[in-house]
Amino acid sequence: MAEETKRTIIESGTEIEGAIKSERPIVLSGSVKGQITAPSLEVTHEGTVKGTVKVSRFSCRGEIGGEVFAEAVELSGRVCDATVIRSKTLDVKLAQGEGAVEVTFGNCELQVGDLPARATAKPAASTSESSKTVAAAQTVDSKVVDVVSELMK
Amino acid sequence: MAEWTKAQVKERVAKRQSLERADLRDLDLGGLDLSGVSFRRAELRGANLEKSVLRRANFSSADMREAFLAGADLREAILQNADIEGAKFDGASLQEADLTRVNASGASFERAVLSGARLAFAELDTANFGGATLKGAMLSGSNLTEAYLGGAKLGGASLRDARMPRANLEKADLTECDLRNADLTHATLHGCTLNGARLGGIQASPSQFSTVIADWVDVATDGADQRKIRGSDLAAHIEGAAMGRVFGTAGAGAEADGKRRYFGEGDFLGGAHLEFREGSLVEIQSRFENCAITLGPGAKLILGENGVFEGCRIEGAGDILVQGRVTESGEGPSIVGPRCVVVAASGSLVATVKQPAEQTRFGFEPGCHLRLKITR
Repeated sequence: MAEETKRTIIESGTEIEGAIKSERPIVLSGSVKGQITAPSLEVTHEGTVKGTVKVSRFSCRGEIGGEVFAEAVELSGRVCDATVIRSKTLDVKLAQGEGAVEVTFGNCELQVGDLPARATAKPAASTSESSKTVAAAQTVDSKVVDVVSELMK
Repeated sequence: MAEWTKAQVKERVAKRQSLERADLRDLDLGGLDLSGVSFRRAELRGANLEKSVLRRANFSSADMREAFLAGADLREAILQNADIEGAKFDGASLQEADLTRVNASGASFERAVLSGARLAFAELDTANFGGATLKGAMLSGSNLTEAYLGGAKLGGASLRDARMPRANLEKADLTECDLRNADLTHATLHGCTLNGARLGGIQASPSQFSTVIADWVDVATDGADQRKIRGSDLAAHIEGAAMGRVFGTAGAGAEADGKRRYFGEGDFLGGAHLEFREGSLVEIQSRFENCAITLGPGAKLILGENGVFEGCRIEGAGDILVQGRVTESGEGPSIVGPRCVVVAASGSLVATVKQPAEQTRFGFEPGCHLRLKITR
């Protein structure tokens, strides 16, 4: 097999408890409980990971629980409770079709990218422009229950 | 420089011999009768074939870049897989010609007649079809990016799955054309006629249809029965279909009533309580602070790229698209019970989302920024 195509494959039916460290991309169809460190980790729809994942690229179609540190994450499948995903980018495709769910999220956290700097622009409305603000609110649909404007200076 | 002379070509044609693979570059063959001659894989770059008779001639896989064929008679000619990039066919007759998979980038067909011609999967980007006649032509799957079709007559033509971003179809006649699944992103449709056209699955924005002429159109998608709507309802239908694609409900029927409520850039709303009914469509480019927003089932809320929600709370089984910035004040979940949350590449979402019993559908585009807690 060519050098560049070598991968570490953990087949379905295999359970590992502990730390896995690889210099090769890992493809997981089995179950790992522990820590995984590799250039990339691909969890197939049969695979599950519970623990800490430290990779550049993380692609999951199975189940993930724990902490993920990655450059790029692509998700589908299931994200368990108490999971934190930290990455520079995240790609979750919206499932097409009424009611279809691409990813099931438990109680979890997503920390993706750097937050943009807060906008410094001040609100345009001032006391003298209260009618403009009300006029804007009047474009709201007919079932507006209550509109109370407070103008900020 | 051609290896052949005009006289040699005439002699060969008189003997009914083919000119396959012949080197005829820059040769002047104008006005000749070359009907039925085979020029397969010939080199005709820069050749002059002005007003030549080329009926049923075979130019398959020929190199005809920059060739000049103005006024030529190419009826039923075969140009499959030919390279005619930059060639000129102005005023030429190409009825029933076969240009399947031709490379015609930048070629000119101004006022040419291509009725019944086959141009499926052709590369026609930046080609000029100004005033051309393409009635009943087959252009399925072709690339017409930035092509010019101003005033062209395309009645009954098939443009199914064609890619036409930024194409100019000003005042073109597209009566009864098949435009299903065509990509018309940013195409100019000013004054275009679309009577009876099939528009199911097209990619376009409502504003592009503000000046089109259409009594009725068929918006049925692939495999569905005819679904006629009035031309005046077309913009609203396009709006609903676009939202369907964004929120992953495409094909399930546009839920939105198509009427977009709009809060413009630079406006500000503070401490307000707003409620949007089922099926409504709201776009917010303003800054909202400490507002409470209730979304009816299926209501669609788009926070535009310039929009800011600061300390707001959004509740209800609606669909939310974040293209701008959302930050919460830290007093409980700021988004409760949404049916769908999509954060676009330009979006930033710092919030807690409390899912309803039926899980929220999430979509996150690469490039978005998140400090998101998801709870059940």
